[in-house]
Amino acid sequence: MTASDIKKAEQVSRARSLIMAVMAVVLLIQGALGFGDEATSMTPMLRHGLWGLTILFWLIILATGGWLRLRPSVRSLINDEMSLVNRSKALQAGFWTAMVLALAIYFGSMGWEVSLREGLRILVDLTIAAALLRYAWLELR
Amino acid sequence: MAERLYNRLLAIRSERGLTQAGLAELVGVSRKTINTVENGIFIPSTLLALKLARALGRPVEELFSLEPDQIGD
Repeated sequence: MTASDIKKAEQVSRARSLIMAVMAVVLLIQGALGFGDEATSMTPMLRHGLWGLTILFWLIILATGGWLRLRPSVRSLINDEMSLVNRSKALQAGFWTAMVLALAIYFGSMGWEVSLREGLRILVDLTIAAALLRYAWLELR
Repeated sequence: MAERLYNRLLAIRSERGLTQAGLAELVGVSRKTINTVENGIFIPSTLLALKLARALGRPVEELFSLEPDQIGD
């Protein structure tokens, strides 16, 4: 481990947190704007496929810390003890967001028509956004 | 019961003439981790606390304490 590894890890870690924060906001905006909106030039299959891939991508980042192509020494620094604790806290935030949303959608659906697909999309978008925001906040403070 | 871990990491690191990045390099963690431990934001594991103590050449109880006035006695 060298001083340049420390410096590189700091830059990558900061960039990762900022990208996560931006992505969380994008997910929220995309969800708010696109929810229930079928008026798009993309075919439904492509739209749903892209959404699914985006979610899968961020789930992998949340699970692994991402940036897999970095040198092992830099990767171990950006996923050091504090980062792992922060990631764990972020996943906790995601879990509680999912539970609260699931309850809200369950009871909300009694008075408001919501399809299974719409409900799941709200749940997944907001859960991932909450986890990403929490992680970014913990890392950037 | 609210408990806090007090530490003298900043003082001892400064005495040794080490920067946060220098200590991070010795211990094998990011500079940010050293910074958050020094500021009491992050409570390190026993393993990290022992590595910090070894890197600074001090017993771990000299670095960390449950009481502010016990530090550095």
